[in-house]
Parts: sequence; structure tokens; C-alpha cells
Amino acid sequence: MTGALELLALAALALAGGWLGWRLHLPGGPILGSLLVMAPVLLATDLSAEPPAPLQLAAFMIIGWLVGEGFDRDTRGSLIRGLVPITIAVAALTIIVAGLVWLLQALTPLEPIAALLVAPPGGLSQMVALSLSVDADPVVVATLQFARVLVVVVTVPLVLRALNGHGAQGR
Amino acid sequence: MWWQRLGGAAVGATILHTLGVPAGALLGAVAGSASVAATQPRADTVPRWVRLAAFATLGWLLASRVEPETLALLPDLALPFLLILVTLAVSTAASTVLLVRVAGWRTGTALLGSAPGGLAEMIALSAVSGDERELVAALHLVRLLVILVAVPALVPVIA
Repeated sequence: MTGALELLALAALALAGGWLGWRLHLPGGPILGSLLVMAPVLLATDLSAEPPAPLQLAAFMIIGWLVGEGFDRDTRGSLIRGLVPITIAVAALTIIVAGLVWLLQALTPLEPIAALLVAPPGGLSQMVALSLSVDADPVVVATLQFARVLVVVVTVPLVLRALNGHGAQGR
Repeated sequence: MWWQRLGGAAVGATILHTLGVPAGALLGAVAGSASVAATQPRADTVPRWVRLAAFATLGWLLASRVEPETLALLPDLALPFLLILVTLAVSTAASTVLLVRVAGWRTGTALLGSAPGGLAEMIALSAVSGDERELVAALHLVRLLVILVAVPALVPVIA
């Protein structure tokens, strides 16, 4: 049983780790920062404290608030304008991800639910929140999702630069 | 305006969580906040410290699930990671070509919309590169919404 004072200390530690991760500008920095600070502390001590349930719910709600507010009036206009290509692209991705889930289950030791959660390319915080919500190997899901986002964030600007350079040469 | 979106998120989260929907707090907040935001112009209404607190809580919750046995599993993730990277590279290329050739999107817009990166990072890149932020955001949001609705619905089926 963790006392109120210990919970407060853990919350302060998690915030400090989150702040550090944010300052380091990594994708998902606050999540990673908090994880890297908290995991050794919790492993090295007898504390097995999760954040209190209301705090967990509030965190999930805030992640949802962040996603939902993207659907503003301007985005709604773009959605209508690009409805057909967006629908086709998302449908194609859904089929590919379904194939990936099958491959991961057939060829790797991942649990079926973990495979379902590591395959879709959602945002890091949303996929971590989802895996925690349905209790599906959240550490494995977070590791693979973080690695994916990191690779994409590093490579896409390079590809864009190469494409722009190619375009400039072609003009 | 922030309080309207927060109110929408809180109402949606409370309803779906109370109904016992898987990931109900997350999904309900998306629906509630989106239904308010859809009538308003673009604005980042979630204060930075609130985001930080939410992300730090997720990190703490994640840390509470770390066990020595979990850490021992991490080296086994190389093959799944490779499979994920190859598959998503193929899907990104296919989606980019589709959007450029069929829908006539600019290559940069199509690539940033198709790339399976974080929403915020891709939108930030589109702002820097001069590509169409709105289309990039729309594609990422629809993809994210489909994932957030489909995955919790499929969990009981697969379990």
C-alpha cells in the first residue's frame, strides 16, 4: 500500500521526468522521460504504485481532447475536399495493417493483442494510452511504437529534402 | 473556448467510460472535443502544462507495468520491428503514389499525409516545407480515428 505522501513524491518525480523528456525534444519526449525516470525507481523499490485511477482517467481524457480538437472547422473543410482520396488511402492502409497483424502473429512471439496494438501507425501517446486502457503488453507496444515514430521522424525530412532537391534540379 | 472543448471531452469521456466501452475515456474525449471543435476555428486549447502532466502520467503508468521479465523480452522485438518498418515503408510509398497520381496531391503533401509518424511531427514538417497542412492533418486525423475506434473494438474479438 502506497501512502499519500509517497504518491505525491512519485507524481513529482514523474512530472520532473516528463519535463526533462520534453526539454530534450524527443518524439513522445514527456512520456519517455517520465518512463525512464520512473521505471528504475519502481523496479528498485518495493513501490508498485500506479497513478491513482482518477488521474489515469484524466490523462486519457486529455489525450482524447488533444486528438479531438484537431477536427476543427478548417480541417473539416479539407476533409470534405479530400474525402475520396483520404478514404481510399485509409482503406488501403487498413488492409495492409491487417496483413501486418497476421504476419506478426504468425512469425513473431508477440501476443495477438500486442500485435494488434503495435501494427497500426497511430500517434505514440494515443497508442500507449490505448494499450494501457486495454492492458495489452504496454511496454512492448510503447517500445515498438516509439521506435517507429523515431525512424519516421528522422527519415521523412531526409526524403522530403531529397524530393525537393530532385524537383529543383528538374526545373 | 478551451472550456467548451474541455467540457465536451469530459462529457464524452464520462459517458463512454461509464458505459464500459473499451478505452472509453480516450474515445469519448475524442468524440466530445471534436464535436465542439468542428464548429470553431483552429486553436490549440490544451495548455502546455496540462499536456505535460497527462504525458507524464502515461509514462508513470507505463513504468508501473515494467517488470524484469518484460525487459528480458525487448531483444526479441527486433524481428517485429523489422516487419513493421518494411510494411509501413511499402504502405507509405503506395499511398504517396496513389495520392499524387490519382488525386493530384503535391508529392510532399502526399508523403507527409501517408508517413506513419506522429500527427504533431508531420503537421510541423508540413508547415516548414510549405506543404498543405490541412490535407496532411485531415489524413492523419482520419487514420487515427479509424485506429482508435477499430482497435478497442477488435480487442475482445482477438482475446
